[in-house]
Amino acid sequence: MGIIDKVSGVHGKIMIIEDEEEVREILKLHLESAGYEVIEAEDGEKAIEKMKEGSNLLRVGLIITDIRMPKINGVEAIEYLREHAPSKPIMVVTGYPDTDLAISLMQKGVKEYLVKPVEKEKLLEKVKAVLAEEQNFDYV
Amino acid sequence: MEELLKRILMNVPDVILVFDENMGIEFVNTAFGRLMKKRTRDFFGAPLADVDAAFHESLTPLFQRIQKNPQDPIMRTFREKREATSGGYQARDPLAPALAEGNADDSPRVLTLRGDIFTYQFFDAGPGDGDLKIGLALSKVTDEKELLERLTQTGSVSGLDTLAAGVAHEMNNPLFSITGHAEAILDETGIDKIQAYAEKIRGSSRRIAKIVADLSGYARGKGNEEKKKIDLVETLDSAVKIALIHFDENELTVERNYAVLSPVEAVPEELQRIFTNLFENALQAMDGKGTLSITASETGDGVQIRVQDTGSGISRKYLSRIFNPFFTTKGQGKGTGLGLNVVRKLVKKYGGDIEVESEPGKGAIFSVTLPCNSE
Repeated sequence: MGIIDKVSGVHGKIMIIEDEEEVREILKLHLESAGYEVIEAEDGEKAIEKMKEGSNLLRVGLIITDIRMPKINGVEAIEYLREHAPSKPIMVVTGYPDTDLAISLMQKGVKEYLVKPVEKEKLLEKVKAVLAEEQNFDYV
Repeated sequence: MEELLKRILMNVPDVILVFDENMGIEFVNTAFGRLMKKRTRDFFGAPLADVDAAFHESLTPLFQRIQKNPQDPIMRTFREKREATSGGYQARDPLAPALAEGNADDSPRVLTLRGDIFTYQFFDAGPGDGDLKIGLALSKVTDEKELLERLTQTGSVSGLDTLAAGVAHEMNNPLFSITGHAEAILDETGIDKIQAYAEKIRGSSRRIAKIVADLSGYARGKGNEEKKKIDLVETLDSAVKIALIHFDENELTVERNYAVLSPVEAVPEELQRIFTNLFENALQAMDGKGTLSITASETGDGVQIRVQDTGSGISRKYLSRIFNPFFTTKGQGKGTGLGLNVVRKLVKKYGGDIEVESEPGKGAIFSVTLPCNSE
């Protein structure tokens, strides 16, 4: 990430939505090692709350989420996020290698569907690619 | 051409009826005649109420809906379903307990006629001159439905799906932690961090080992564990002790009501496992606060152990599935969904049985029966 991005804050933060601490930790380790700033949420509900905090709605440039979580699960959170923050790209990192689910989520606007255990290199490559895409701002 | 159409209509295996607006029968095909064991012409002109009162009763509300609104969605029940199954895969959490899938509205999914179960479709059979004629096509599903119900009960169908998704989820998370921390070690030079990551790897590996152990306990026993005559009271007491380890005893009351003298023949670890799992489950259901009542009694040829908690109870829609592997309503990391499944496996292995009763808000009662002599 270049200094310009950091200053402009467009791609500033990546939000991780994942209920398992160990997994959050790994994602954070990987992402921080590549220079990204990370905010974490344990479930969809908390993610939505955090999204509304401060400048997060503006500064979060990518959302990485699991599917299975308590309270608001990933699928519901994705639907909510697509509705309320349609310009934020979403990546799913999940334990289920499920083609139908992947296709259906992609149709909902999910950019990538990665299956755990995803390797660091692949994760960072996908993150970089998604962030490099021009953000499709929907002016609602 | 008309003759051909009539023959086709008469001979399709689905039941087809056409009613006038007062639910009088205008037409039935051979499938209906066969079902009612009469010739089709005997029905022409007869009021449905005289032909089959129960069926008349179940159709009445549906008729009223159609009369009120000829565009009511039940007129197209089938077509909508086809569309939904062909292209409309719905993304959902694969482990979330599936809600009963019904029609979008409150119309019944199936109709019963003479003990058989049918899916149904109403259709507009009017000639177009303003007279309302309502067609009804019935497709028999009794066999499929029975099969499905039996499989769901034994946990085979939904159980297998849940099993596969459960294995994937339960294994892939710790695996991700292992590969991730290993990758972090490769990039790390600080010994403290490396050690901390190695610790995480060990923890995750143990978690996988535990899942594998649970699953293989789920498969066949190793065969080298010998059955012994075991004192049930002693087993129950030590299972309580183990279950209580994770809870605050000050917040809990354990009521014991033992009236069992006969020893039970079993592998000691397995018998203890049955009750440890049941007790831990009960304590978790109560959030560690409340009363756990354990009642043991003789049943003649065996023993019955009732485990009652004062927890939040189990919703009816989950009751048939709580013994399925990986089915859990507990939060992540609190349960693998294998506990009750293992309990049932073991109880069945000894020729016993387990039942559950529960009402939301009123706790749950698990009753285990075990024969005293399991040869």
